[in-house]
Amino acid sequence: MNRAAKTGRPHAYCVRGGAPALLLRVLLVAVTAAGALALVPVPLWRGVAITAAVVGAVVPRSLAGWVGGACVGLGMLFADAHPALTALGVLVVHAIHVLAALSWTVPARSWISVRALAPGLRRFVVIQLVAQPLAIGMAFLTVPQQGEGIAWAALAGAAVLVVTAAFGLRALHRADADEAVVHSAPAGASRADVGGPA
Amino acid sequence: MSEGVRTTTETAVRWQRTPVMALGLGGAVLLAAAGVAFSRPDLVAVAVPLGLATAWAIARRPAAGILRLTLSARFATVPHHAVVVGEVDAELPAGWVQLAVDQGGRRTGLADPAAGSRVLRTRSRLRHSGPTELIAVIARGVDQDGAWATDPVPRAALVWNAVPETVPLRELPVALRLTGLHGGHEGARPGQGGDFRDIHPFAPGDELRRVDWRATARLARRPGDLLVRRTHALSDSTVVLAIDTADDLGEAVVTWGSDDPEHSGVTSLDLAREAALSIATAAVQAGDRVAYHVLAPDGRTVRAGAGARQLARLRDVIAATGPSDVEVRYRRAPVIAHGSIVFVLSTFFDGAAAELATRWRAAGHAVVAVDVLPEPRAERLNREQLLAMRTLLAEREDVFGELRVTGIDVVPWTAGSPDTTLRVVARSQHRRPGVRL
Repeated sequence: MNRAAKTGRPHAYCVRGGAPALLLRVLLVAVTAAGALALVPVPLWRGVAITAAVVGAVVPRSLAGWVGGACVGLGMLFADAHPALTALGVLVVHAIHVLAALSWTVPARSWISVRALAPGLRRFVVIQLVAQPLAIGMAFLTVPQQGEGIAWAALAGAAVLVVTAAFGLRALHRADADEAVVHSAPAGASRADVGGPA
Repeated sequence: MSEGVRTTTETAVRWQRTPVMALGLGGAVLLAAAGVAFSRPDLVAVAVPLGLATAWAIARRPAAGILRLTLSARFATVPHHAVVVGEVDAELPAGWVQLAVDQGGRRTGLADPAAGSRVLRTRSRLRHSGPTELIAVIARGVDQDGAWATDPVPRAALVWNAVPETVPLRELPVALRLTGLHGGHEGARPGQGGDFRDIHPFAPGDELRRVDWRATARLARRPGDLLVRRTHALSDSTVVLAIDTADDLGEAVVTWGSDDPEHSGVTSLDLAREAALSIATAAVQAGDRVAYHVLAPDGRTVRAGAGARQLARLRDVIAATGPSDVEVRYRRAPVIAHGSIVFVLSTFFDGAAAELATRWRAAGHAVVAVDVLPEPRAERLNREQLLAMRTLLAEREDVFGELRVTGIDVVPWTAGSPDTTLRVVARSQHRRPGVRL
């Protein structure tokens, strides 16, 4: 338990198992900087990524945290592909996305309970367990190939990308349009559930 | 208030997506498109977790439900300090809860605890008696790393009514005309229970046991004359407490007009509550009936009553008496029962309470004006403010002078011992002409 305010003040509060939310923003900058240094060979590109991360940490509403992540991802184009770098990129860009989302959501002055972050951490691990084997598989595609195979792969990839993007946009629109069904409180808790719409 | 208090609010919440999902999808498409365009499958691989995270967030949309907030507080046993600890339970079917925490009416911080019981604990050191907004929270639910969020629910607040300290008072002035045949004060009429009144010829209705045989033997003129020994009746007094809540002025004059309870020091309402409870306690212990009126237009009233239950009721109401929200000079004038003594507790700044006191005195009630303004501290005042303060205090002295002329006793609650001052007032009642005790 961490005390959020000094005991000398008349009012204080504690969040059980809490940590300052500022740590999330520090982590965002640290992960982006580490990713940029490891994955991006161009100093200017690195600088842009780190600056964007700092701006994103200070003003999350600017969405600059995601700009930093995009800079790290796109900066990998300046380096030759390598399975280890690909694995690192998969890890770092995902982490930047999660940290940028948390920084966008959680105010810097807040205290966040570690228990609140546990489901997100589990999700992160599961997605990495799926994405990393895929990345290793794709790393073999970077082996120079000749002929029509790679061209067909590019076309297929583009088609899959377009379809995926279209599905994604449709899903987002549906998420906005869905009428949320408000459930009544569990029977016995409020003792006022008459079975009608709440 | 020694026992705990608790309040629960339930609000139906619905989830809305935030830009996080769109940003995840956009990032995935951007990186994958760049990978396809530049023939870099590794970049497509980097895009995969962003796409998966977005798909997960879309697929696992949290169900609408109820956000139940429970705020509770209880006294903590800390020596020499009035400390109250509070707890916040936040129950939500999914995700975590974002809380904006207010304590003492001010924003003290933000918290993002996981949903559950006792997610937040608070601790407040009370500087004032009376009602205090101990904890208030505005909450919203968050899920999927911020991909889904609910609208903030209405503010839930827990008010703690701190009972003031009491000053032991040994003697209180009483009503000028005591009524009734029960009570603890010696009245003017013959009856039972009081001290010796006189020797009187036996009359129908007198009890035989009251015949004073020695006086009869000494003073009877004719055979058959009997003389009885008469005593005073014991009567009760009704004490009316009228508290003026228009001002809540602290010791630090620089804080007057600003809502700054942390730096104000002891305030006039602190003293008014202390005085009201002390007088009520002393009166109930003396067997008197006590009524309580808050003079604000929306103020509370407790009808006259006696006994321990009335004192407990008064304690609760006095602890819940706070500054009036109505910004008017008008004070309501409650009806005062015949034969009451009225204690008017006020700072007597704007004259309205003094006007009421004068009216009650003119109606024949005994009135005591209790000045509850704390000893003013003039630190950090500039010259103009100092001059204004002195003018105000001088005007107040004029008000007190006029009150004394009309026969109203003025008792400053802070200067010296209020017990001594009230005893002096009580004793001086006996010497006044026309007072029938």
